[in-house]
Amino acid sequence: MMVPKLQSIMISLTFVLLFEMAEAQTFHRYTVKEKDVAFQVFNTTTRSLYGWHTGVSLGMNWRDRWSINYFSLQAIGKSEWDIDVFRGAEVKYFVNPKSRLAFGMAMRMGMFNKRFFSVIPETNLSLKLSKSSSIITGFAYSDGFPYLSIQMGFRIKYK
Amino acid sequence: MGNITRAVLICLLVCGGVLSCSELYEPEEVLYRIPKDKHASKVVGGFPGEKVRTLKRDRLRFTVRFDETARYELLGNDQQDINKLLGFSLVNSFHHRNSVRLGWRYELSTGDIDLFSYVYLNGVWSHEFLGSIVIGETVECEILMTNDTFTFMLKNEVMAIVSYERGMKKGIYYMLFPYFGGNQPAPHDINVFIKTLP
Repeated sequence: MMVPKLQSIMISLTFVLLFEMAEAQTFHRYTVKEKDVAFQVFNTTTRSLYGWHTGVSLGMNWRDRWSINYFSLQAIGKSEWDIDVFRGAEVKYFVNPKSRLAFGMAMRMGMFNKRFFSVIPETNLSLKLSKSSSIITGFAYSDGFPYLSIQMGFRIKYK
Repeated sequence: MGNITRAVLICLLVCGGVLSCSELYEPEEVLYRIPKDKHASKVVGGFPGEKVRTLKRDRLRFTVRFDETARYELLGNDQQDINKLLGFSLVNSFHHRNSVRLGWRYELSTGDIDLFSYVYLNGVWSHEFLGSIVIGETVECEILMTNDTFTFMLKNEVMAIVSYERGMKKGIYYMLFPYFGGNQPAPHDINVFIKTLP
C-alpha cells in the first residue's frame, strides 16, 4: 500500500526526533558541542519606492553563514502604491560569519500583493550585538530606487 | 557597548535616516533613448540592468512626453508600424505570446504622436487607437488590469477595454520598455521621457 507523502514525512521526522533523543541520553560525549543549526526570528522593516513595510521573518540558520527565512511584510499605513503585502522567502549568505561585523548577500523572493512574483538581490551587513542577537541592514536596488531593509532579532541555538 | 558597535550603530542610523527621506523616492522623469539604427531603448544615466523589472501591482501608471526627435519618416508601409512604449508581459509567458503595452507612432499628416493599445493574447496581436498627443505635451497613461479585462486610460479617461479570458494568476509579469519598430530600426536617436506614478 502506498504511504501518503505527508505521512512518510511525519514518520521520517519521528525517527529523526527519536534518534536525537537517544543520542542525547548517551554518555560518550564529554564536551557539549553547540549545534550548527539555529532557529531565528527577526523583525524586518523595509523602505522602498513603494513605501515602508514591516513584518516578521523567521527561519533557520546554519553556522551563522547560511540562513533561509520566510518573511511577511505589511505596508505601514495606507500604501500610496497599492502594494500592501510582500511575502516570500529570503536566502542569506555571510562571507565572514564569525566576525562581529559580517558582510553578506541575500536573495529575497516573494509575491507582492499575493500575485506578482519578484526577486530582489541584496547586500547585507550584520552587526552582532550579543551571542544570539544581531542587527542586519540590507541594501538593494529595485525599480530604479534604493531598497533598504533593517532586521533586528535573535537566534536560538540549542545545545 | 563597545566603541566600534556604537560607531556602527550611529552610522547605520544616520545612513538609514538620510536614505529613507521621502524626497529620495519621488519618481522622476526618466529619459529612454533609442539609438540610431537600433530597436531597443537605453536608460540615459541608468545602471546596467535598469530595465530588468517586474510588475508589482495590478496597474501601470506613468506620464509620457516626446520631443522633436520623435518625428521620423520611413519608406513604404513601415511608417504605419507601431512602436512600443511601456507595458508588461502577462503571467509566466513571453511578450509575443501574452503582453499588454501602449504603442505609439509619429503621424506625418498631423505632426502628432498617435497612441495605441498593443496587446498579444495567446499569440494573437491586436491594437486600438487611443488618442493623439502633441509633441512636447506630457500626458498621463494607465493600464489597469482586472480579473478579465485590461483598461487603457489616457488623461484619466477610459479609451479602450480589452477582454482577457486567462484570469489573473500568480507569477512573473516582466516589464517592457520603449522599442522602435516594426521592421525598421530608429532612423535617428529618439528620446522618450517616462515617469512612473503611484
